[in-house]
Formats: sequence, structure tokens, C-alpha cells
Amino acid sequence: MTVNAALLDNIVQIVAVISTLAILSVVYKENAFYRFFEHLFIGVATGFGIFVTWRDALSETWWIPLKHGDWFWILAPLVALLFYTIYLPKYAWMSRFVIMVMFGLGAGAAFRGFATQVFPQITASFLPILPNAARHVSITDALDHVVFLVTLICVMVYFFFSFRHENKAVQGTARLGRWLLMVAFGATFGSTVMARFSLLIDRIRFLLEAAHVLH
Amino acid sequence: MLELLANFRNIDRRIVSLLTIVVLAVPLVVRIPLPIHAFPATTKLKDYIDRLPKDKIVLLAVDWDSGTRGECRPQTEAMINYLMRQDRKFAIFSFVPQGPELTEDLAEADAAQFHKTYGKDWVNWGYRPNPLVTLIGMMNDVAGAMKTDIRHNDLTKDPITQQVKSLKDCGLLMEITGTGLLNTYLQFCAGVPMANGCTAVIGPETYPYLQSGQLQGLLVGLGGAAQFESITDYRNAKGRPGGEGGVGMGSQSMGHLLVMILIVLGNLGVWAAKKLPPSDAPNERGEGEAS
Repeated sequence: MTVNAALLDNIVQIVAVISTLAILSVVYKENAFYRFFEHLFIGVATGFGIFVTWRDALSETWWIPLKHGDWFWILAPLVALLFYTIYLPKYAWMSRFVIMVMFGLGAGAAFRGFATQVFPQITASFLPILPNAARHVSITDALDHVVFLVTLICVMVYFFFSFRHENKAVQGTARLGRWLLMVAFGATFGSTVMARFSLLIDRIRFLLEAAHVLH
Repeated sequence: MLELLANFRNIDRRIVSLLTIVVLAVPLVVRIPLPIHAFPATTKLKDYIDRLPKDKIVLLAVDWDSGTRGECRPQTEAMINYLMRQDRKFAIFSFVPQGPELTEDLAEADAAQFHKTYGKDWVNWGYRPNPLVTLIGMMNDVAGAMKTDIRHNDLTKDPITQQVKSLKDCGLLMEITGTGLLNTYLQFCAGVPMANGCTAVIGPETYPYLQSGQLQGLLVGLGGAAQFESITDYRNAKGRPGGEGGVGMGSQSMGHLLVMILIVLGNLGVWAAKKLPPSDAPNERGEGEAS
């Protein structure tokens, strides 16, 4: 029996509408309907992730070469399975080999990554604070740079814990640093509200389109 | 009067939720034409794309899923629409399983509108796990690291992929994400021109990379999508200006207005409760006398 494509689309649409309403029902109060669809979403997302990992990665890079005679690919899952020897006290020592390799890789990558990601930030912190027409630094640019440098220094002083902040100048700088951090947290909180609204807008738009209110 | 004001401390959260849904829904049905001014970060991105040589491939890393669809999808749609209108070839890939599937639908719709062909004008490399290892591989040999596209075509024979031997050969690597994956790109793709589209939550922590020159442009949240639509003269399939970003920003603005009104009312409520004698003020649950 073949399933009509339009009918299938309609079924998918109805399931999506019910799922959306179920998840939004938590706004009224926690309920079993919401709880069921929350678990359903996690299950579907995990299942989809496994399927896509097989289709786009494992199938092409591991299974097909293995099937075509590159026998050494069988070693990959065998090495990976060593992780699970941690559950067998007698053979747990074998898991240390793969954990050591992963630790080494992680440490090396983190060291390289830190340099590539953070060093440009340090060099970009050296900014001109005086207007200079020859270097295309306008008055507003210079003011921007002053605000940037004051923020940078004050926040760094706030996080300097090697000695007590007893000196008045250090105390004042650290206090200003804390206020500036509050401004940054405020901006982040405002952005978070905006982000949550965006997600709700997307769902409301979907429901309105499903109800044919939007064309 | 003070008693009425004092009640604003205790507005039921279900009333607030209902008000929010109504306020966000109305501008979707009745469009509110609000002016949209692009941030320098957004115009910088458009200018960078415009300056790219025509033969340079744009890579679109769509590291988002249904959880951040509300912000990342309008950004992705605005970007794909612009790239197709500008006759720019591009490749899609992702380190998030749902990303390539959700983007494929958008690209297919735009390809039908602008008469673009899969494999000639755009390609979808699909999902790959382990960003660190894959990116290191892609820095040396893109086709070798990705092997096949989402339709199981061999990438060593794909004309678009052949123009990007290494990631460094691309014109721009545009990552659109609701995750923290930008750090991995910044760490292991040194020398690759990059730009970012992110959710509003991670926007503030992404700006420093724009200032340091590690990013060539930045779209933040739904507003970023609306700004990009505005400066690229986006039109939907029916020829109407404004896409999901522009329309959504009408709702977003009304939502912000509601939040501001509720904050003012809540503060008025606290002020009024302090003015009332303790016996008259409702407690924080709105149950009559304050303790």
C-alpha cells in the first residue's frame, strides 16, 4: 500500500501542532500531556541523531570501506570498546590506554586552541586612545577605545585575587569593574529575553500557519 | 487606588503568559511596519560578501537544530536567499545532526525560486560528528574529510568541493549557531575568513571576536536576521519585502513593550504596597493581609 504524500504531510502537520500545544501547555501548569511530549521529543531527537550519524558518517567512512575489504577498520570499534572495560574490574586497566590517548589529544588541542583563539584578543586590546587622522582614528573611535580599556583594566583588577583589595585605588577600580560586569550581565539577560521571545514567535507563527491564518 | 496598584505585584503568571502569546501573535497577523536599522556588524558582513571574488565558495556551517530554529532559521534563510540572488556558490555542512536536514528544505525552496541546480550552484555535505577532528581534516583536505554529500555523491567529483581543497580556499566560512561551537572554529581554522550568526543569548560574548578581526561580520538573533534582510532587500516567494526576521521583529518589539510595561507595573505595585498600612496591603500571593 502506498501512502499519499499529501495525506502524509497532513498527518505530520497535525502531529506537529499537537506536540507544540502539548509543550506550551506547561505554561498553564505541569501536566502529564506535557511530560509525555517532552520525553517523546528527547527520544525522537536522539533516534534521529543516531540515524544521521550512521547515514552521514559511519556508513561512508567506516562500514562501506570495511565491507569492501579494508579489514583493518574492524580495529576501530574494538579499540573504542576498550572504554567499556571500565565496568569489568579485572580488565579495567585496559580502558586507561584509550583514556590516556584522549587526555593527550585533549590537552594538546586545548593548548593549541587557546593560543589561536585568545592571542588575537590580546593583540586587539592595544588600541590608540588619542584621535589620529593619519591612522583613521576619529574622536568617537578614541572615546570607544578609552571605554574599552577602562572596562578591561577594571574587570581584570576585580578578578585579581593574589592580594587583598585594601588599597583605596584598587578597591575603587575593582568596584567599577563589578559595576561594568553588571552592565554586561544586564545586556546578556536582555538578549536572553529576546532569544526566548524569538523561539515563542516561531512556534506561534507555525500554529497560525497550520490554522491557515497566515498565508 | 493604592490597593489596586499594590495588586500589580501579584499578577498571575498564567495571565502574563496569555498576554505574551496574544501580544506576540497579533503582529504576525496584522503586520506592523517598523523601521529596521542595521548594526555595523551586519553591514560589515554584507560588505564582505559583496567584495568577495565571484569564484570564491561560501561555506555555510548550520550548527543549529529545532531548539534554536526561531532565531537561526531566519538567519540561514536570509543568507541563502542573498547568496543565490548574488549567484554565489555555497556548500552547507554541520556538526549538529538536524542542521543539514532543516537547511536543505530552505535551500530547495530558494533554488526553485532562483532556478539554481544542486551540485552546480550549491551542495550539502551533511552532518559530521566530532568537530575538532573533522575541522583539522578539512583544513588539509575537504573532500577527503567529508567524502560524500548528503545524497551520497562522491565529493572528489563534485565541482563545488573541488574549488575548496582546504578550508583556507573558501571565500567565507559563515557559521550560524545556537551552540558554543564557534570557539572550535576559531581554535582550529586559523587563517580562514569567518563570520558568525548566533542566537541573542550568545551574542554579547561573540562581539569581542568581531572587534579583534577574527570575525568578518556578525548576525545576532532574530534582529540580526531582520537587519540582513533589510540591507539585502529581501523579498519572499510572493515578492513581498521582509522575511521571517522582519515579520518576527514586529512581534519581538511588541513583546519588549509588554515586558517594560509589566516591569513598571510590578514596581508600582511594590511602591504602593509600601505606602499602604500593613493590614491593607495584599501579600505577595495576593491573599489579602500582609504578614
